[in-house]
Amino acid sequence: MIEVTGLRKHFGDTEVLRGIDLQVKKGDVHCVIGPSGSGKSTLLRCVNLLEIPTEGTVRIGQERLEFGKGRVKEQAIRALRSKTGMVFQRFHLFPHLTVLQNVMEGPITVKREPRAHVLERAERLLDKVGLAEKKNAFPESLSGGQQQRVAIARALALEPDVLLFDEPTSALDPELVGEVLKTMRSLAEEEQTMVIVTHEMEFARDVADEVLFIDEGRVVEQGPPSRLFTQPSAKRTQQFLAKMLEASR
Amino acid sequence: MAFLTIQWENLFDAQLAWESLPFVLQGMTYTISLSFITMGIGLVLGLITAMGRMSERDWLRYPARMYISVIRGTPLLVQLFILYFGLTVIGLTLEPVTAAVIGLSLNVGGYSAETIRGAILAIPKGQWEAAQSINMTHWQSMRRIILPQAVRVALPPLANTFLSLVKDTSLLSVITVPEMLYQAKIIGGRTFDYMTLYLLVALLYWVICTLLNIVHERLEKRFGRYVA
Ligand SMILES: Nc1ncnc2c1ncn2[C@@H]1O[C@H](COP(=O)(O)OP(=O)(O)OP(=O)(O)O)[C@@H](O)[C@H]1O
Ligand SMILES: [Mg+2]
Repeated sequence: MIEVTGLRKHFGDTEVLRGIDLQVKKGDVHCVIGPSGSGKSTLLRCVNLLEIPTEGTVRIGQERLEFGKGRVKEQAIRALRSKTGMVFQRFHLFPHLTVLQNVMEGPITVKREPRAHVLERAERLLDKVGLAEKKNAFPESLSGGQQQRVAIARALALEPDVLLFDEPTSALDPELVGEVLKTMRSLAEEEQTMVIVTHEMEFARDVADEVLFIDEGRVVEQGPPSRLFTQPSAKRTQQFLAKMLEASR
Repeated sequence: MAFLTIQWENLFDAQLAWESLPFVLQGMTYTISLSFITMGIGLVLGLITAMGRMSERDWLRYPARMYISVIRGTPLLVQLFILYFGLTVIGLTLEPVTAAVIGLSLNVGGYSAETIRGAILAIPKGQWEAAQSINMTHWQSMRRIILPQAVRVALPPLANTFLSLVKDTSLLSVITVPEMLYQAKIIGGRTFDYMTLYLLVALLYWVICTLLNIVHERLEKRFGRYVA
C-alpha cells in the first residue's frame, strides 16, 4: 500500500531525514515513536508532500513519485496527496465553517462531488466519531478532543488510502485523550491503514502492527510492538523507552 | 460676556438651511454614489495589489510596492490635481467625475492593499496546511479558507478607510465635482452666508458617518459569529 524508500529531506544545510524506508500493508497500523526533533513530523509531511523530499521515492497504491531527479509536477503531487489524509497535532479546523462544512469542504471544493452525496457521507462520519449532534456548531465552541475528532472526520471524508496522524493527542488535556484514541482504535478495527506518530505507548502497544523508532532522521529499529517494547535490541531504543516509561509514572 | 451677544441667526440661518437642503442633497447623491463606487473598485485594486505584493515574482511585487508607496506617500488632493489639471498637459482632459473615480479608486486601492495583505498574513500557517492537506490548490485555499477569515481581520480597518473616503469626497469640490460641499459653496456664494451652509454640510456628513458606523457594527457581528 505505502512504500517509501531512501527518503531524505534537507532544510538548508541540515539533513533532517537521512534515508528512511517504510512499508505499510493495506489495513495495517504503523506507529512512529522517537525523541523530539528526530524527524517524525517531517516524515509524515514528506509522505503527503506538505514538504517535498530532497531524495527518495514515495509510492501509495498506484501513485509513485521519485524525488531528487528534477522538478516534480504539481499535478503529480496532488495525485499522490489525494491518497492521504492528515490529522494535525493542533487540529487546524477551519474556524469560519461549521463542523459539517469542515467535513464537506474537501469533497465538494476539491473533488467536486455532488452535495447530497457528500452530505450523507459527512453525517455518517460525524456519527462515527460521535459528533452527529454537533454538526452545526463552529469548531471554537468545541473541546479539543471534539475538534480532533472532527479533524479525523474531515480527513476521512476524502476517502484516503492512508491516514496520517501527527501526535494527535499531544495538544489535548489529559482527560480528553481517551476519546480521540478510542476513535482511532475503532478505525484500526475497521482496517483503516494508518501511520501514527505518537507518544501514547500503551495505545501503540495495543493497536500497532509495527512500531518504528526514529532517531536523528533514521529508523533505528522497527518491529511488532510485542517485541520492540519488551526486547528492544538497540541501545538508543532502550534508553528512549526507559525515559518514556519514567515520564508516564 | 462677548459671545452672549452673538446673533445666532448670523451663524446658522435655519430658514436658509431648509431651503438649500434639496440642492445640497443633490450633492449628497454624488457623495454617496462616488464613495460606494470607488470603494468597490478600490477594494478590487487593493486585493490584486495585495496579491502582487505577496507574490514571489519580482515583476509583480515591485510594481505593487511602488504603487502602494506612491499613493500613501502623497496627498490625495495633489493626486486629484495631477489627474484633473496635470494630465491636460499631455493632452488628456478628464471629466471631473472621471478624474474623481480614478483618483479615489487608486487611493483606496493603495491603502486597502496593505490592510488586506496584513489580514491575509495574520491567518495562521496551519490553515494553509490544513487546506493543502485536503488537496486544495493555492487559489482554492485562498478563496475558500484564507480570505473568508481575513475579511474578519480586515473589516475594522477597511471600515475606517471607507469613512475617510466618504469625508474625502469633499476634496472633489476643488475639481468641480458637484458633491455636497461644492453645492454648499455655490449657495454660500450666492447668499453670502457660508457659515450656515458649511454647518449644514458638516451635519449631513456626521449623519452619514454615524449610519455607516451602525452598519459596520452589524457586519462585524455577522463576520465574527464563529468566534466563541
Ligand atoms: N521548515 C523547517 N525548516 C528548517 N528546519 C526544520 C523545518 N521543519 C523542521 N525542521 C527541523 O527538523 C528537525 C526535525 O523536525 P520534526 O518536526 O520533524 O521533528 P519531530 O520528530 O516531529 O519532533 P517533535 O517530537 O518535537 O514534534 C528539527 O530539528 C527541526 O528544527
Ligand atoms: Mg513533530
